[in-house]
Amino acid sequence: MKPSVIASSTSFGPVEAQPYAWPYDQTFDAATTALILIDWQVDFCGPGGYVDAMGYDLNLTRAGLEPTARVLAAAREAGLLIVHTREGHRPDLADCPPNKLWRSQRIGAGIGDSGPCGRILVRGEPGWEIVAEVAPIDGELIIDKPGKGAFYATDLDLLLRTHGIKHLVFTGITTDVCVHTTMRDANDRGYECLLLSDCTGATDVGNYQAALHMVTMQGGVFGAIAPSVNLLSALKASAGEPS
Amino acid sequence: MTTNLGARPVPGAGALSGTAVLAHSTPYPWPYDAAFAAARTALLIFTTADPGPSSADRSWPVIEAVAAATARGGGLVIDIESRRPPRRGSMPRGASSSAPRVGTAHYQLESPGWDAFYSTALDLQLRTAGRDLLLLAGAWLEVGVHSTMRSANDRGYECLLVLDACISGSELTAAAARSSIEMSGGIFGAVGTSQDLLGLLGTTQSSSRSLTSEFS
Repeated sequence: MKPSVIASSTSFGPVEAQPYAWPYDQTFDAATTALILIDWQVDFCGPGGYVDAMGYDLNLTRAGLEPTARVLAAAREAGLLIVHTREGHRPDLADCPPNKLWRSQRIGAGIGDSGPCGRILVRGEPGWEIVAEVAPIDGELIIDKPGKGAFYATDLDLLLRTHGIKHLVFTGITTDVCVHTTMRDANDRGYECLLLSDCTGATDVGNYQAALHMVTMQGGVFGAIAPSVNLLSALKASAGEPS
Repeated sequence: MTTNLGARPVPGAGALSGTAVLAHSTPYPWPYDAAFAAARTALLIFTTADPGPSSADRSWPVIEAVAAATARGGGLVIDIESRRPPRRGSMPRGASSSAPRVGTAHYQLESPGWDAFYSTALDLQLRTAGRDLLLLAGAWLEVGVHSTMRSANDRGYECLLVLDACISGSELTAAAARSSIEMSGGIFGAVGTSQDLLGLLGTTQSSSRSLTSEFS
C-alpha cells in the first residue's frame, strides 16, 4: 500500500537550527521527508498579481525565490517528496467565503476581478500559476487550497500519511500568513517542521522577522528555523548508511 | 429539521441595519456585514498549561468581564484548553488542572493542539449553535489564539481579536500578531478592545436570548 517503503533511503541530519538542532529525533530520511513550497504564485510574487495589486513591495515576497530554487534542486537530488501549494478559488467563487471576498474588494484587489494577470486568485488564471524559478515538474504533488492553510479542505494530510512522511521542510510566501498557518497546522498533526528562514518572505519585514521568532518561542512551539545553507550542508553530508 | 445556520455568513445579512458594528475596530468596522448580534456570536477563551500564563495576569479580569457580558447578552462562551501537540510515539495526555479557567463559560473544550478546530467538535458545535461571529481572547495570543483565528477565518467565520483580553508572550510578538491580522485589509479578521465590545454588547442586548438551558 505505502509507496514510502523504498529499498534504499538515505538518512540526513541533524540540521543546525534554532531553537534546537532539527529534527528533534536527530535524523531525517529522504523517504519520509517532504519539501513544502507554499504559494510561489504570480499572485503573491509576480508583477500584476494580487500582492502587487494591493500595493506591497514585490521584492519582499520575491527575496526567497533564489535560495528556494537551490533547495528545490537539492531536495530533488536527495529524493525528498516535493509538494507545491497554490491558493485560489473556483471560477464561480463558490468556495470563497463572503467575508474574504468583501475584504479583498474593500482594498481594491477583489478576488475574481480582472487584473494584468487575469482574474485575481482564481484557479487556471496566469496569476495563479507558480513562477518559473520554482515551477513543479512532472510527478511532484500540487495542492490547490481555498484558504491560507494547506491542510484545510485539501488532501494534503492524506497524501503525506500515505507517503509515510514524518518531517516537513517549509519554504514559501508569505511567512506570517500562509506559511505560518500551514506550519502551525502541520505541527498540530505531529509533523516535525523546519522553516528555512531565507526561503520565505512577507509583505512586511517586521512581521516576517516576528513570524520566524514565534516559531522559536517556548523551546520551538511550532518547530524550528534555519538558513537554507544549513539544510544544504546536511543533505551533502549523509548522516548514515542507506537504511 | 433543526435550524442549522452554518458557518458561512449570509451574504447581505444586516445590510439594512448597517449600524451594528464595533466602534474603532481595525482595519475595518467589525463584523464585515454590519449586523452584529450576540445570538450569532461565540467567545472563545484560550487557556493552556504548556506553559500557562500567570493567574495574576492583568488580562484575566478583562477576560472575565467580556465573558460575563457576552453570556449575559446571549453569546456562547467556550473555555478552550489547548495543549502542545504530542510527538509521534508519545501517549495522549488528558487536560491539565493547572491552567486558569473562566468561571462563566457555558462549557469547556479540550484541544489536543494549538488550533482548536483540529480534532475537536468545535466547528460542529459552532455551526449547530448558529455562531458565525467569533470573539477570541486568552492565552497565548501568538499560539492558541492565533492558530485558531487563522483556522476559523479559512472556514468562513468572521473573527474579532479582543486585544486587551489576550495574554501575550512579549510586546514585540504581540505587536506582530496584531499587525499580521491587520495586513491586507484584515487578512484573518479584525482587532478591537474589550471596552468597545462591552459597549456593543450593551446596545444590542435587547435582541438576545438566554442560553442557560441550552448549554448548562
